[in-house]
Amino acid sequence: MLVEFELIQRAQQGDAVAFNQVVTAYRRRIMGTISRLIGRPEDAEDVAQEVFIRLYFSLQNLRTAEVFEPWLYRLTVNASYDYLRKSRRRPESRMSDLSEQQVMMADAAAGSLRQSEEGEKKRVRDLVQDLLSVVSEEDRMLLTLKEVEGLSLKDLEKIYHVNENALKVRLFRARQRVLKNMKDVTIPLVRSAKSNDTP
Amino acid sequence: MTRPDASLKNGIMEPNTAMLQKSAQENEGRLDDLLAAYRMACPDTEPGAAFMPAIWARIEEREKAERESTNWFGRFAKTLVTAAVAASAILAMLLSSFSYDVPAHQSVEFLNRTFVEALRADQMAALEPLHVDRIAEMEQ
Repeated sequence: MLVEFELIQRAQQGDAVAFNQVVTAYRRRIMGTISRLIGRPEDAEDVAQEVFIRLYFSLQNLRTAEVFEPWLYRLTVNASYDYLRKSRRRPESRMSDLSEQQVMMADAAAGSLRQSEEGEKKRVRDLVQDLLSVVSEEDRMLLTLKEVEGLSLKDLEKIYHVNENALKVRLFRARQRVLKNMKDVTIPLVRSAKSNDTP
Repeated sequence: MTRPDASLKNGIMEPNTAMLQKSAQENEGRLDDLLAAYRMACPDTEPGAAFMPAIWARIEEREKAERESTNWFGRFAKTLVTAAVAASAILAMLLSSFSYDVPAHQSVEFLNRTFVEALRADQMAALEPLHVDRIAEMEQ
């Protein structure tokens, strides 16, 4: 645990300074986890704030120190899931909806981004998001927590309150579906990347 | 000449189990590499300076909204209780203004009696001995 339980107890009693310290200790980790769960680092800060607000309002219910971190992860998973559901409903702006000038600006921005390191990171993120799109949002988050965050099955059991064997089965099925999708998705993207490299 | 990891069937080269296993292992490895790259592409980042003040502002906003909804509910409940008390008072006044004769079977004495006592009282007239003069009176 990154903080002493005594600090959490003080935060439970309404000590704002203690709550600030708890947030400061966990904000970096939580922000990282959220950006990997939702695949959009630019929105991670907003979702992280929501997590800590939920933590503030539910802190009274916490009884023991051992459950604090799984509980914080649970809040993180729930807030990320809510974000994904909302963003799925939100209409995305398409190129056809934009003016000619906006399209030119978007092309220019994409061109400079592609050359930079950030562009490469974005390509990896998009590729993984495409791969994971074949599984449900719940399975995608479960798979991310296990394979990307490196959480153990025991940790996941505490977060989801689900039997370890059930989690294993679910993870195996999700991974198999992603692997199947990998053959279909990766090859066209590699081809397009190669075609971009050619002068 | 055939490759050791492939078999020829109907003139078409078909992958055998070893080939499929190798391919599956390669895919597993590629997926692991890709997920590791994904982790690096989404590193842990430090939030901006406005992170904490924004949290407190949002907390206060929610607390205020909660207080307002509680106040509205409180006002509604108070109005409802006042209306109920007023209605009860009016009904009580109306009831007290009417004179009401309590029937014998609803009187306090009747209700306090035991079943045997009530039965005895009810049957008493029937158990009493008949008097000749009384019958004569009735005939008159």
